[in-house]
Amino acid sequence: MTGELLNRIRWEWFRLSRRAAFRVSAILALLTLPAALAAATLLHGQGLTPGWELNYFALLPYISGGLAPLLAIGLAALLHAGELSGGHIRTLAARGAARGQILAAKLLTAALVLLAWHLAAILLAALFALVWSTGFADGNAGRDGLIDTAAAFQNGLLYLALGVLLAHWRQSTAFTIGVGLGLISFEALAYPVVDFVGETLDWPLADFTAWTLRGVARGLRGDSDLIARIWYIPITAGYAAIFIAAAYALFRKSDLRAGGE
Amino acid sequence: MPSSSANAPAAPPAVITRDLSRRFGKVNALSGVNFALPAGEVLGLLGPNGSGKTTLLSILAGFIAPSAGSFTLLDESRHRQALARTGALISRPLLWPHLSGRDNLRCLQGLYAGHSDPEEVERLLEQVGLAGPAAERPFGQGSTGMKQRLGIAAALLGRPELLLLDEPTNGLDPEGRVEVRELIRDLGRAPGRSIIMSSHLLDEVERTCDHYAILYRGILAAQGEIGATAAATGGPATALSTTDNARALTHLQAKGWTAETDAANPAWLILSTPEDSGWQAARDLAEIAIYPTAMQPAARPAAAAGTLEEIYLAAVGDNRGTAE
Repeated sequence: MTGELLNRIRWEWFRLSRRAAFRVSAILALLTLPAALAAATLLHGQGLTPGWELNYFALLPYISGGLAPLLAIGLAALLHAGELSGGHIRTLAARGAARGQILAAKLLTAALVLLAWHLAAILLAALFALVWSTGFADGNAGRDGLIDTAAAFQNGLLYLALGVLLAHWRQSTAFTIGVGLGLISFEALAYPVVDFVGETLDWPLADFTAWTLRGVARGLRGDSDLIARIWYIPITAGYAAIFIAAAYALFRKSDLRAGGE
Repeated sequence: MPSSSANAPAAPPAVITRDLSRRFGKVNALSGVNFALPAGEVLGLLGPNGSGKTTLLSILAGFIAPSAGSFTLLDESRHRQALARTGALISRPLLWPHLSGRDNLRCLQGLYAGHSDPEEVERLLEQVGLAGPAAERPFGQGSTGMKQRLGIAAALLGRPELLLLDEPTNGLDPEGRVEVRELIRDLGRAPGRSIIMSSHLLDEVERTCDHYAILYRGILAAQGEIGATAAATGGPATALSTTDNARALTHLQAKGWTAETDAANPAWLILSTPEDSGWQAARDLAEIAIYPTAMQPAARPAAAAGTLEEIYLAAVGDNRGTAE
């Protein structure tokens, strides 16, 4: 069973790694990291960030945490929606592959890509810290950076699960990307407004959003104490599990269409 | 065409369907289809557009679930295990457009078998006429004919015992049609391999297949052996051959059918019916796990019902009323 799943992951990767859309996205995602770190270094060097200590490990989760949901939605669109709308999942199912295993292999492949990207981000931050800074900013910088990156990774998995559900709901790449990115954009715009209004009116509006998707993601990645953040891990996992279970239920019941390309 | 396994010990049928039905909304795409395909035989599935050919093959391939009824492939109790021994090309080949033909086959081979066998990939590419530079072209940039050939090669990976081919010569030029027809005929000669192939073309089925089945508006209107003489009666009737004629006769008579064994050819049962309703008899027989192996309208004299074209026209014509 495990061997079969690993074999499926291998060939999922084989196909994904040869897609031009994936290659371009991967290069852009990888280039964004050093570009953002270099920009921070430059701004700091020119004194444009007064009162702000240059700590690459603290900076990293903001960059990777912001990009991970976008990358996750893109992976869900490429691996799930693209193959459902094009009908290629029929080819995988034609020899009796269980639909659960097809879904698991695609999900794990995307999760591994996200993990690899986060590991690359940590290595890059370490490299910047060693080359441009006076070593690591403080004794706990590396540990904190790892914890923050792990939280950003879990946040990415949450949005991957959401993307997979969107993909299986409408079996459309455009829908998955459109709704997924639309939701992320809405969250990015709406939540600061909610925070601002709450602070202005001195009314804890933000508390009402604590259990929404972004609220949970913020709790997981936020700067509250570590124990408080740990509570968000099962909550985030629960959300992801619900999304994946719903996606599987849809996939199991759906007819495999011949595709519309 | 003589049956390739005529003298072999009776093997379980490669495909058995029991009252197989599928609805899409209010449309009955398939209604109570019962048939058995003997192992090692090639069945040509005929019928006009929208008759249910692709729906039937899609159900057998596991792409869609039946609304009612059941089926067994390769005598396996679990459908997934049977599919592991089945190759399918349904509707049109759906391979990954950004991969070359060779990479598509490598990828599918890895997924199906869990290992690489470059020799098999090259052999299949050669078999379908795609050896050389054509195999390096991305699938999405290939011609319809190239895609169809590659789809057939993909279905043949792992030497499947059962092949489900939905209009495999679609999109091919005349030369390509002949090549693919010959390929299917060769594939059908492999011991123990069974093939169901759908087609619009009567001559294609006549040249390639051992058996025919005619679907019309989701109903199995006729089935039989290519070239076999039809049973003949003087009045409206259906000639029926089953997996167990003796039990079938008793059961049908008990169900109120006017049925008798054909005096001229005991392999046939003759049902005297006011209209062609052999599919209803087949449904009754499925209750006791007996399945038709051949069925055709027998309203015409044997000499006139000899060609597939005439059987087709009789079956489609006779069912215009009942299939509404």
